[in-house]
Amino acid sequence: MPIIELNNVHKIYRTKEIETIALENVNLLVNRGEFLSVMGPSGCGKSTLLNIIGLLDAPSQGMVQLNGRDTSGLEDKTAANFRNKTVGFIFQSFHLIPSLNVLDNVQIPLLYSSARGINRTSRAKEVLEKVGLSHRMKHFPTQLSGGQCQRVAIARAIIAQPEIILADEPTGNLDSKTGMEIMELLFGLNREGTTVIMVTHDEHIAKQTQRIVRFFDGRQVE
Amino acid sequence: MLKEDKVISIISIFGTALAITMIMVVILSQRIKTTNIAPEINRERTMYIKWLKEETSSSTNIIPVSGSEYKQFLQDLKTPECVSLQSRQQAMVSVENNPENIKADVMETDSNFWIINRFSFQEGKPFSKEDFQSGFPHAVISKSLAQRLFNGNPALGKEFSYKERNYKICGIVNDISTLCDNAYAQIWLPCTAVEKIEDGEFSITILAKNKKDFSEIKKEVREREIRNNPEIDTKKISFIGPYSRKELLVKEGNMNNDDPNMKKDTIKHYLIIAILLLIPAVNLSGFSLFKIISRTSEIGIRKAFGATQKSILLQVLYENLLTSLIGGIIGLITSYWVAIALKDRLFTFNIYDHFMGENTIPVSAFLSPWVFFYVFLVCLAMNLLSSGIPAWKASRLNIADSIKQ
Ligand SMILES: Nc1ncnc2c1ncn2[C@@H]1O[C@H](COP(=O)(O)OP(=O)(O)OP(=O)(O)O)[C@@H](O)[C@H]1O
Ligand SMILES: [Mg+2]
Repeated sequence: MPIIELNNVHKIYRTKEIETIALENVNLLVNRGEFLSVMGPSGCGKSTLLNIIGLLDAPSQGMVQLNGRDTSGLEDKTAANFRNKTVGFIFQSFHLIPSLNVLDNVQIPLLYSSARGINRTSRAKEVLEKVGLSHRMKHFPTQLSGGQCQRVAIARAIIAQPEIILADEPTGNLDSKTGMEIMELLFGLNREGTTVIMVTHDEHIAKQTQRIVRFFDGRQVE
Repeated sequence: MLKEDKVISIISIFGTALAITMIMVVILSQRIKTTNIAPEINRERTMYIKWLKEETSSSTNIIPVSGSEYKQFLQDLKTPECVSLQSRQQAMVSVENNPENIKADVMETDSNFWIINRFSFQEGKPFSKEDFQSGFPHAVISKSLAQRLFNGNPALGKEFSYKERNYKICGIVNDISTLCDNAYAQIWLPCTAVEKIEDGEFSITILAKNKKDFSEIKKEVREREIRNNPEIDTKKISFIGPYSRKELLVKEGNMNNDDPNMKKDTIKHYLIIAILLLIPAVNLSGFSLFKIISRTSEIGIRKAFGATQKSILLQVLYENLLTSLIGGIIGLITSYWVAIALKDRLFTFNIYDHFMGENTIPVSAFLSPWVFFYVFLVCLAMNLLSSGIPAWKASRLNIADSIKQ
């Protein structure tokens, strides 16, 4: 059973004057444990695709299945549970909460998980260790470099041990050395069984993944 | 979060404090008139008859209750714990060796008065039931009057003269605030020492065993009217009351013997509070909205990692409640201050105008668990009204859109 299945997915943004077709008839199957790269020019709908898979936005048409379950019309509580446990998001521009320090930012998913008996702080320290940031726990996002922010974002995405990681250009803002370190982290997670979908503009990085999906103007071209 | 937008927080705390001040002044002024405040510690189970209606074939008069009517109709009511009678006088009193005649508020009453009210005695004790029954000239006097009369010398056991009779001081009590308008006086003495009960005019106080008995007591008074009236066939007596304190307040100035419309008054009271609550709440909701909009992206992020709409709603309300509560505490303190500064305007009934004593506000009216409970309740209501809708909207935002903000 594929972990993600998209069927005839459309996403159309409508405002008073214009109508933008961000995704058009997207069909996608992702198997458990796959590492998938999504490529395509700017504005072709890559972020939109991740938002729809991660239940941050609803498709205008079509069906999204996670773990074999249709996600349309889910109750808020169930959808929140999917976002909390099944999916971990790494955003294109980090999206850390500026008023919280690194440790608190990383713990956010645990605040909303019903998992009892886990010590949130020690779990957060563990994942920060993993991304190599245990020496910056009390820093605030504005006091960190771009690469460090990206690591915090990764730590936050993996703390609840999701089955799927959705990474939107995780290396886009980084130099190639730091980019490679981040990629190593993602490959490591993938080896441990996590399904990863990653948006990237870097052919070289994409080639290292198992499969590349290409988009153009909202349509899947490969 | 407080440090994030300090100015906004300070303004909304200030706004809340102002609103709470207004509401608490209204609540306090109502409380001061109706709840138990020493020495009137039994207000909640006390009823009053101040007037009666006397109908003859030619006229209808509203007149005070005379001693003979008290004896005939009310003295031995069965349902209440006890019945007491009071008559207020303002008269000159004097003592030997002090050339000054001092005008004083005097209450001529009975020994049941000391059961219904609990005074704190500095020295001595109240006059006794035997004093009352035999008309013995014992008197209780307030501390400040004793000081004036005797120039600060010991007063217990000394005598003063009132209405051409000498009274011996058997007890000295702390001064009573005129806000306790039923117990207040500067001198209390047995009415029987002044004249025969039948010759006096009184206001009647009835202490119920329990406030649940109020309607039963009213019924008994009505029965007495029917039973005792035929004996005096030329006129028909009906009492105005007995009324509880709240009823009395609503009736204020209304001299018919219809029962007051308590429901209407309660509605009016809550309406005033609702308006006082709503106006600032609507204003404050602008601030709440602003605060929430500035956190749209944070809310989106939290939702992206599993926050439910409910948890966002609760979080926003909870954080705003903090502001409301800080405002509430400041408002409560300010309301004390306003109440004290404006007490002459806020709490004075007409009858106080000629009283000699002070209308000090008893501290117990403020420092009760109920007051804190009211403040908390008002804060909660204010919070729900001002940040409820913004919080609800925030919890429903589209995640992808709000994160981008
Ligand atoms: N909220 C929105 N309202 C209207 N149009 C939108 C909205 N979000 C995205 N779009 C449009 O949808 C299209 C796809 O946007 P998307 O963000 O998915 O692009 P992208 O492939 O991630 O681009 P990039 O590589 O620059 O990040 C774009 O044309 C964009 O203008
Ligand atoms: Mg994008």
